[in-house]
Amino acid sequence: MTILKRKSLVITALLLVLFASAYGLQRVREERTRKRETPRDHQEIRSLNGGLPLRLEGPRFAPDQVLVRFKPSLGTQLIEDTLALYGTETIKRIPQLNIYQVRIPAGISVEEMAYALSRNPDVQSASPNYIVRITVTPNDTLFRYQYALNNTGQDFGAPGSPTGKAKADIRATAGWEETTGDAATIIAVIDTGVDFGHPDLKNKIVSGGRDFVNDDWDATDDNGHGTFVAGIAAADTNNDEGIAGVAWNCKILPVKVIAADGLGYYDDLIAGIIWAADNGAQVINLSLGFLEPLLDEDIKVMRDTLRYAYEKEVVVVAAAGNYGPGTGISNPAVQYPAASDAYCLAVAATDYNDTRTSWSCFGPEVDVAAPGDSVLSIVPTWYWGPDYLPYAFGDGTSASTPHVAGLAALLKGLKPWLSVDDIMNVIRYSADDVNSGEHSGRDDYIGYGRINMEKALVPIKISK
Amino acid sequence: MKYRPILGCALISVVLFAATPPAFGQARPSSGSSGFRAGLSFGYLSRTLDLNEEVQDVIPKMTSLLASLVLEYEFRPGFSLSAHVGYSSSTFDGLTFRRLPYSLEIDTDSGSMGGILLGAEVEKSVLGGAAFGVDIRGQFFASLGLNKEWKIPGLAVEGSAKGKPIWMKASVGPVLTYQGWEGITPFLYPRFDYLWGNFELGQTVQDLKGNEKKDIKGKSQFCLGLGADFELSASLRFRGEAGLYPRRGGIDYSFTIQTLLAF
Repeated sequence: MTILKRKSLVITALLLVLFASAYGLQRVREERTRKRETPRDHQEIRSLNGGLPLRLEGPRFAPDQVLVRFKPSLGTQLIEDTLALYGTETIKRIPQLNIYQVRIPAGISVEEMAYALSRNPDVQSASPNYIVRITVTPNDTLFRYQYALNNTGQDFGAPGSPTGKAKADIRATAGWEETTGDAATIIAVIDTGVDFGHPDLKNKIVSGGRDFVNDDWDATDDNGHGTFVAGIAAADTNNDEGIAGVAWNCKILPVKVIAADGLGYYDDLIAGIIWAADNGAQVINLSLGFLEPLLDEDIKVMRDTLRYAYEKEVVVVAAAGNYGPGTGISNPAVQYPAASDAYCLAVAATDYNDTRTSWSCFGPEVDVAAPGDSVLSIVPTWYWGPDYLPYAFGDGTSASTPHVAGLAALLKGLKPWLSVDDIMNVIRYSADDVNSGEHSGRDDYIGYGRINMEKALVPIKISK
Repeated sequence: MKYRPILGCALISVVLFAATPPAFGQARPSSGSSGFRAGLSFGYLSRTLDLNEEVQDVIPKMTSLLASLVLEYEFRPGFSLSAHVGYSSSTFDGLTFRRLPYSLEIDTDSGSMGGILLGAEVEKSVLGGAAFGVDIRGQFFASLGLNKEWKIPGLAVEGSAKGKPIWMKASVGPVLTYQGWEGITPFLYPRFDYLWGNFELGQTVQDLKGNEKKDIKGKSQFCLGLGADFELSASLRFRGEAGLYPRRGGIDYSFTIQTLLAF
């Protein structure tokens, strides 16, 4: 009952990291209103692959073909005679480069035939006919604006924003080559609830969730923040519309602990974390926080709560906070619960140039960073009204955190035998030290660096 | 390892068979006196691996260079036993370890891995006297890999991986010889040839640790060996052999050269 007493005592409550309301969502709303811009045109972006899922695996090259390039001086007849000697059958010729696509006889491998042909003095090169694939790029129509997942230096569309720096992203497309997540992996978004009817989310929600604000079983979002966060972590992906989530196939468990005004109470947060851990969550996203508690004992309660989740093998990811020096606030320390160091990952924010944002809180508790500036995600369908698509750009460590939660969920599905500590360390140590020029190695600003899904998920080649 | 009992039986049969006096005919004439021979053997092995049906992006392969000292003892004409001690250098391709905290891939860029090579070979003549002869030969080789360490590139902290491959190869089959030529005895050696072992890879990245052992076995279990023994002098013999391992989608191969000096 100590917890309930705190409800009235901790009047500071929870300062929800509504980066969106502070910087992002509101800013975009005002911009849109002023410019009367509409993103409707995005609806006309056509799918590149007809909505079919992209092939993630398969052979590297055609099983029965070799490409042979002959020396330019050789005549056609001599080439054909040579090819006949090897028992091959010509399929196609590329005359400009004197390349022959040939079918090899049964009983010999492509590698062996390529090797045998390459030994012929008339042959410049012989190689397998490699199968070319596009990288795993989802067909979501707004994906090209998601620089955080795949930054090509594109104009990602945030009003007034410059273009980003290529590769200042979390290497999501490379990471998806290895996994797009397991449908059995559940990410609890402990926040303002979610919009159950959003087209990019409705198929990703496991249940009605739990609403600790109104004490019922309907975690409907009446603020917008929780929907935004859930979209970054696991929006419906490769569904021909909207955005891509980090963890394509993982599910969302909504837990509402923040009211429509963006404020919540400590007891609800504690109860929400425990409920999520008891109800199947493997990852908990906390894009929220509060400043330093009044008493050390209060910190202990939060630490015990996080330890409860930790002992249930739940990875907890929390936002570092948006009160960095750039905001003029004197205390840029990492907020709680992110500051409860041992049992959660504290996430700072970088931008589209891989630079730490000025408003991102810092301190020794920061583990990693992820893009948090002008991040595109979903908002409830009622948010903008009927004339606009329910998507928005937002800023803040609240936007950074679900990128990390999504990666944690991908790792949970890919390697379920790893402990919580292992998963947190895999995420930490695979990060890119993008501020190494100023602070080499782990530092208090972005921790080990901006997360890198490729290094965390894809096999690393080791060379001598 | 369901083939191990079969292999064991096969090898025991070879030894028992070899220990019995020639029953089916005259042993083929010995090319030299009974007693010890010593020499050197060099081999090259390129084998496609089967990783228990695990899906791999690249066809897994192992290539090995083998060098060994050979000591052969001929108990009586047509019945010899030899021991090999040497060094192997094995290169692997297409081995992906996904159970480690960070998945790691070993390929040809990972370099070769050394190992101690131990082997034994028994050969017994069962039919002979005419132009053609039949021997039976059994071989066993083991490469006991030495640890190799790599740095794991690209991480925010120092990390390393330590690998150790162990593989064995057992083969048994008849050796069909033609003895009609002076000083040269060509032979055909069709055999059951089984390669198996494991590759253990450990990973340490600060406090993050993992270990994965991957069973490997040769894709093909049949080999057709073609070679010849050259009696260069009364005491010096040279042997060359090429082995072909047909498998679905291609052929693996091996080469061996060996020279033995009687004393």
